Amino acid sequence: MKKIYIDTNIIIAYAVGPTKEKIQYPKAEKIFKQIEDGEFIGVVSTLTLTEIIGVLRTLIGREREKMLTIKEHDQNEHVRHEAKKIYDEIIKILLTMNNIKFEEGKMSNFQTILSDGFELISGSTGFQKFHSTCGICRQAYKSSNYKQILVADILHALLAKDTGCDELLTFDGGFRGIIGHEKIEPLTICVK
Amino acid sequence: MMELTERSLWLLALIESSPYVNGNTRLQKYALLSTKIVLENEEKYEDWEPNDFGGFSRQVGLEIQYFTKNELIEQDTVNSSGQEHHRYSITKKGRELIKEFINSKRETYDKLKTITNFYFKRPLNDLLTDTYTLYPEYTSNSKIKHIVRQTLLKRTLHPNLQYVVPFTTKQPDLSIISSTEHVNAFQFQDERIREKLSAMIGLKSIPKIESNSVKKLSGILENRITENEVDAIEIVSSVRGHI
Repeated sequence: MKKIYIDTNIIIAYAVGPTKEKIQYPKAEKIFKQIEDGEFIGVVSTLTLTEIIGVLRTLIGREREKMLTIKEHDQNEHVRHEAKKIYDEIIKILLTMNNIKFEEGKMSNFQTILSDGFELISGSTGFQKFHSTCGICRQAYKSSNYKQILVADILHALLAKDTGCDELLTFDGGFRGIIGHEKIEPLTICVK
Repeated sequence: MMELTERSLWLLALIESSPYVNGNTRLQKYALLSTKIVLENEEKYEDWEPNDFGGFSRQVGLEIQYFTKNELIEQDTVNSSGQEHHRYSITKKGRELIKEFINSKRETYDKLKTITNFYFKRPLNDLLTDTYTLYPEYTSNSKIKHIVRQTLLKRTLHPNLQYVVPFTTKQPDLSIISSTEHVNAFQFQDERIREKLSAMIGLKSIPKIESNSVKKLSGILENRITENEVDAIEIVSSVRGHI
């Protein structure tokens, strides 16, 4: 059975649900259905789990109205505590899920990862994006940015290769910049 | 003077032979190895059976309780690697009791002492791995085969970690390293991470695989956040440092 590395955004899209993540949820649902049916092994790394904590804290911190009802010196603890509660639930579900394999890295040492990461970043290309709405509040807001591979993306790709995954599945187009790079081959990157 | 059977005296001598014994599992493995390797021609415990951590003797367990109750050994609770366990050491009374016995069995006792001192400073994983590979007949109910597999793999990769167990010419059975037998429902040998994650979320053991858990993850955040829309790519990118 194929081993496929599941990027954090797939887990988050599925956890957010169809009402609030209309674009990515259907694709995430299909991926989890395939895992459940044993079409492939879904690999969840400890790096992904670390990012899930970060995402949950970010989401809780964005709850402006709720945060304003909490005393200032209790706000940080509230974010940490609430995120941990949800994180624990998510971990428990992932632990009980069929065809999920947890990985934390195996063969490569830190020096190799940094060296390969440097080459990947240097050789990668991004793409220019133009926006007409704010990414968070969706209000009209004109901006542009250069979308490129991030250091964390590189680490995910190298970790996927290191743990013997056949493929890395992601929704993030930034990964396109390293598709086919010799440092990540034979890993295939699939942007859904 | 208290009367003990010869096998009880050997068990007491085993505890006496090193400064202390850390934990029930280590004590059981010392007793198993000494029974099989050193005490072949002596009166010994015969009720060895496969248990969660390999070979286990109920009689040894009961004897330890008896020794403690009669102040022949001391039992302290110590914390090691975040886990509490009993540390056993002989008392003055216990030492007096077996002094004559040890003198009468000096040669065998010295071998026993060589075994316990050989493992005294070694990690428990080494002791477990040696008992598992020398006596695989007691591993059928084990819940920690993955730990033994990892230790064996490390030894394979690092020859400096290899050694010969004293007084035995028995060849270790390495089939456990390539065994495809599932020790529990988790087929990917990722039990160590699962154990860690389970402990982190306050579970005492790894939860079992459930058939409907995929559905439980779907929309778990929906009612926890008031935002009408969440862009999964954007939120993950923001955590990764791309705003």
